Amino acid sequence: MPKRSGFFATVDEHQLARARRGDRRAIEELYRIFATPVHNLALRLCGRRDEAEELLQETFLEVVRSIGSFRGDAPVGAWIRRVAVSKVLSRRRRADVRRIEVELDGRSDTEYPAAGADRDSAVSGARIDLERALNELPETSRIVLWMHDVEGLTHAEIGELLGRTASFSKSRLARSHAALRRFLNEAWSHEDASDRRRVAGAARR
Amino acid sequence: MKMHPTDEELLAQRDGEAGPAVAEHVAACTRCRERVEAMRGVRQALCSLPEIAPAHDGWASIEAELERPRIRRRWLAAAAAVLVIVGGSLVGHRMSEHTRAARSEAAVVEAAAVVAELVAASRELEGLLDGPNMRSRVMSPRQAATIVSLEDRIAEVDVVLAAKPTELSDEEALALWSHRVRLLAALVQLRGAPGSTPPFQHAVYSEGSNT
Repeated sequence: MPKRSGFFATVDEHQLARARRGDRRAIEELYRIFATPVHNLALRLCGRRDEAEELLQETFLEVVRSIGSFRGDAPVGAWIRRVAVSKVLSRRRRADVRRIEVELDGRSDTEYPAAGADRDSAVSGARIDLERALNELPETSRIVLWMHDVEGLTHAEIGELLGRTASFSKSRLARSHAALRRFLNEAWSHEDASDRRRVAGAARR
Repeated sequence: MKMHPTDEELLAQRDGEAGPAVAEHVAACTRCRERVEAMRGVRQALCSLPEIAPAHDGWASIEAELERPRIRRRWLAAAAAVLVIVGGSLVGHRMSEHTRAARSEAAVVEAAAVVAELVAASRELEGLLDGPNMRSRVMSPRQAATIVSLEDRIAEVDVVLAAKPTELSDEEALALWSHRVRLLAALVQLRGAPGSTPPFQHAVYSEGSNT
């Protein structure tokens, strides 16, 4: 099973109650707990650090404005994750319109910056391969893959998030794995055997 | 099961959701067992990617944003501007005088009124798409794919609009209807509505004709 997501960190009940009443300091504590999971999720889904920072801000502005309506029937982290994903999807829809407008203007679609153009120089070669492969996926495939394999959402939940069906999510997950496999095979074919062992080791950890 | 299972079935096996036929096949087939293991490895590798923290503490800027008066009017003006730009450039004279007036009065219109305008524009664009004057012509695969993508996106917006019409905030409704109008406008432009001269047409028609 996927590792326990950072969104399921424990939140003190009284602190949460204060946050729901609009106490700004209590909400700031929520930010301290969930800023990194939100940022990481946004970065993995959209592939760009600048966008991830903006999405983090958009998410917590929404959290501040809407936490009064949080019913408490799920962990608050799951609710914040849902807000974050809705922000990612909303941004994706806006970007889609911009992309279409660019195409209609007769310009090349290669004008879009490559996803994940700014890399963390500290990550290892194996991780770079995997992250590069992840960013090569079409955005919907990347979202389905990450939400299922890492965040542990069911296909039904992902289908609902995307306004699609569970079958759509299953099919996209299979395509994502096939695309990742192709990309990694290609990347690894240029590496030596020790690199392969290193990647396999990273996968087992 | 004689045939190898599909990737979808193997992923279901990895997740403990496959049926007995797939499970039996995987138990007996080395190739499929290895594929399931590889899928498990990919998931573990994804989960082991480092959790990346934001570069800056963004709370101060969030608080600063919250302290600013809610710029509702400016937001509404932006939404109305989208409508006017889209309507003005694509539907032109077909848009009502009332819509054009929204340009100058956008700063003070209520959200419901803007949504109503967007709904009206949406219907007008749909009318154009269903109209007899929509040209039928040969398209490149890319244009055809873009049309499919646009229709797909419109369907996604419609799912949200239909699912929770009463739960949407004013801003959400405005965003969704603005988005829908823009997508429809792009579709009208792409399919070549009369009265509009999409830039891409020049490019398409000039291909191979400049000799």
